[in-house]
Amino acid sequence: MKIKCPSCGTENIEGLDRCEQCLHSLITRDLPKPSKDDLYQNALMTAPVSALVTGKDLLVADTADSIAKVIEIFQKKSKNCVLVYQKKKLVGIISNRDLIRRVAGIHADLSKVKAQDVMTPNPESVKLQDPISFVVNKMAMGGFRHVPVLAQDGAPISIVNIHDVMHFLSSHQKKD
Amino acid sequence: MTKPSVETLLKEKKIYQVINPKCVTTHPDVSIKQAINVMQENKSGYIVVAEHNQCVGMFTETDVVRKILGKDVSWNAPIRDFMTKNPSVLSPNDPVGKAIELMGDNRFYHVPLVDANGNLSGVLSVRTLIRFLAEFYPTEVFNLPPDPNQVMTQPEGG
Repeated sequence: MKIKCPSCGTENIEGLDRCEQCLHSLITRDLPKPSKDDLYQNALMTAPVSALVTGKDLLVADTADSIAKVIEIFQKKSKNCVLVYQKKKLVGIISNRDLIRRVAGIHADLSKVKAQDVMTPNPESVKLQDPISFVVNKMAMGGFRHVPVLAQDGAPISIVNIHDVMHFLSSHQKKD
Repeated sequence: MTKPSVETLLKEKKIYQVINPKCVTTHPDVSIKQAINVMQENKSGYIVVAEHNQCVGMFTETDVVRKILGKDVSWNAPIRDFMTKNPSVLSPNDPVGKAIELMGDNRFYHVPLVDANGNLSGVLSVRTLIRFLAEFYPTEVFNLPPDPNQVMTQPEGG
């Protein structure tokens, strides 16, 4: 069976990543498409993560910052999640859950505990142009409620909260 | 066989069909210390506070972080004073779509489920909902490499 290139029409052998004639990528050709009449499936599979990003949800800490400082910021700004950076690289994430599991009732002096001792290391992240379904999948598979959104160079852009996804869905529901 | 659309599923699927049977509950008079122990043991971020099988409040990790950690609070105080009183509830017979709306609008992580007689019958977590939603999509979408257009410079394993 041959695969016809959607760009130049050349017939390529099956399994090639790029068209031999024009180098057009053939990878996305076999991706499943959302069914046309399904509003939700369309919304989640085609809308990019940037539709969820408000620009207000970003908090960044350093690995050496104390937990007392993190908690103070959470309380003042009513936030639940902070990204932990070391030398411009994302190394961890701290949310309320980490504080319950690794701080509450375990450490008495919060100013002596460092962010790097409490954080969940190497969090999964997404890019702005990824479809929302990527975020949904990461949250469902990993049980995360927050997923960092990063730029190509690893710089922090935002944190997508599970509520942002729910809100996005329910706003589609109301339009009906 | 045609699959029903997500839209129909959200309206027709009931909460009791998707929930995880686990529900962590305590009495409102337990101390903060005990409550945090219960959360750590159960790996839960919430406790449904119930008295005589009636839900009277929710005590969550957000309450602990905002009202207790780093503050001058006695850890022997009862959670009654720190819980969120009279939380919004759902019925196990409500459609999943209603739960998504409530959680998205109010930013709840957990909502207690109360049956027609006012008895506590479970809890719905936002993560249960997202797992339910993730089942709607073809798995191939998620198994893509992070950058589908990446060209490998060496053969596999090289």
